[in-house]
Amino acid sequence: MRQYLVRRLILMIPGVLFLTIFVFSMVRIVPGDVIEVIVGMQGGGRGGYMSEEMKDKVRSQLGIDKPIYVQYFVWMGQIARGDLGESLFSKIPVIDSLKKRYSVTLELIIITMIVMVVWGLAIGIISATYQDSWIDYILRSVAVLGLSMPYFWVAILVVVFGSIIFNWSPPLGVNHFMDGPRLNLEQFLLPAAILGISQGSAVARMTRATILEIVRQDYVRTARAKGLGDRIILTRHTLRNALIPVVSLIGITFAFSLGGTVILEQIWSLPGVGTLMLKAIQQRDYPVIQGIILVLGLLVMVTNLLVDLSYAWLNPRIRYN
Amino acid sequence: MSIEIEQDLRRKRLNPWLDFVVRIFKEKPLSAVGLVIVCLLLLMALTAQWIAPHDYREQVLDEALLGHSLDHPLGTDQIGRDQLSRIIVGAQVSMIVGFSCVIGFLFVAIIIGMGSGYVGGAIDIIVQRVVDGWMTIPTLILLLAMVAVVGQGMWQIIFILSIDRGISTSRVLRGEALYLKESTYVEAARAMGAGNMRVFLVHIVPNAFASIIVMATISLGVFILAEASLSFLGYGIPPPFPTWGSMLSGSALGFMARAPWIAIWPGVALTLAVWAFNMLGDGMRDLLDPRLRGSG
Repeated sequence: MRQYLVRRLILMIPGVLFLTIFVFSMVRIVPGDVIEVIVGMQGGGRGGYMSEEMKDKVRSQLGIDKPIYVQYFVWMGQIARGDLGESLFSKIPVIDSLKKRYSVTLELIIITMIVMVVWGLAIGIISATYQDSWIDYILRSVAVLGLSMPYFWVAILVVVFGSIIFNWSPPLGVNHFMDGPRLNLEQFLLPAAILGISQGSAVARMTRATILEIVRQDYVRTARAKGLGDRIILTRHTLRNALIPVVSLIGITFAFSLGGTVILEQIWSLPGVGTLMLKAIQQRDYPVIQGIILVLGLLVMVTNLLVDLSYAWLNPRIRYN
Repeated sequence: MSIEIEQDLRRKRLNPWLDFVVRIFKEKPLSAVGLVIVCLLLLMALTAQWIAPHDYREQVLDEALLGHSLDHPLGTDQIGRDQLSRIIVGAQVSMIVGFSCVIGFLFVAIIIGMGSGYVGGAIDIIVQRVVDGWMTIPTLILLLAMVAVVGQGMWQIIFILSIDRGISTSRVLRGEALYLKESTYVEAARAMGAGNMRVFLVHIVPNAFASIIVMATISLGVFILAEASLSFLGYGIPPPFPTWGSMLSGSALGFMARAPWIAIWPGVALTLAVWAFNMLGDGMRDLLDPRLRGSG
């Protein structure tokens, strides 16, 4: 297992390298001069004026005044020291804005993942156990519907009808869990559940299909012939093998769900990384955009590492390959 | 008997598409419903200008936020535009984006995925690591960042969605190329002196047709949703074009509690379209390419 971990960590290096190059080149491939774009964005997009000195200052701030390879290494050095630059507009260091906002997004994504796994596995297992019964049909239709209904639309409907029927609207500001669990959950549980169910529907379909494939395997028949009970066969033989593709799907959906939190934060007016991102895009605040992509990309990489480790734990063949 | 078989074969060769449609209707009823909805959507998109009862841009402020009526079957929005007309024209936008993206993403996925799998070696290793890196960036965040780089507009959105989906699905087609390049007919073509390019274009790509068409169908739903998400956030297709995503966003959000129909109908259209493409894609996957099951 340790050997596997080391190999997996080495494999992460090119990924990190690509991520940094991608983020680094972002401001350099903007058609036209990025400075002109930024000048154009000032004054609420009506265009503004910037003196040549000011432009040079912004250029050096973005690090685009030196030869390209020097730029990259200087930039990497800053990143390694935890310096992601500062916002072009508010002048607040990007890392500080992220520190202030990451907890909201993290709580959202954690609850989303929990709902997704529980929903996906429960629906998938029940559906497969009662294959072709009416329970199966209903659950499968629910899963397909969950897959087809855009989560942002469901979120809008919940807010709109919450306000029409119950005169309820999402609480404003951030209510930390420790201060008031009820208000906190009212704020986070609903949006996260909406996203979790939407993503979990794909997991449910995958779980059902894999279980049905596995129950036809010889080793399941052998287990049954040995006289093992249904529950033991399900947990020890079927589920453990069925989890392998499901776990990898969960890894893939993590990156997707993280993108989904942007929309949910917007609808629920949660001050998370997503709303920061939207504001930054609106202002073309490149250092902020770069910082967010870098941090979220690294978060996804670490998650993928954890997914792969659990993968190896589930399937010894991967470990020793 | 042999004549019958021959006729049957000829019919099949002449009408592989018709034959396939018949199979969908016989074996996959849900996918058949999906296919019908897709055809209706396409028809609606093609004839939008003629079947829309009102001009989608026409603002009649006196008629703002009207409920369902004969003149406005799906009501009007906050500045008095007819919702049904906007949804019909929105279908046009969705279909243009969806189908253009399919062409674009297949181009990217075939070159990157099948190309790198076919060439192999160091190029393949490097390309695959780039794909790995690409997939670590959360989709929507990546799309938004690309909007910040290339700007906003319909063709920009199509470009962005094509590149992103092309790269992230390239792996499936790469696997296909890896498998196909070991096949005996590729060996035979080589023995007859076919060059790399010819083998790739004539023997490898067409033989992955089943995976390609299945992936294209499933991706259509993905593109429609992605465009709607971007439009919802205000970074999709700019006005005056009505899109299902933008109809749900912006100033409309403030009026939904008073006029819930503005919140309901564009979402219903979206759900229906995505559902139809999902179902059709599922059925096609089961019939054409069982190996792809569970992907996408």
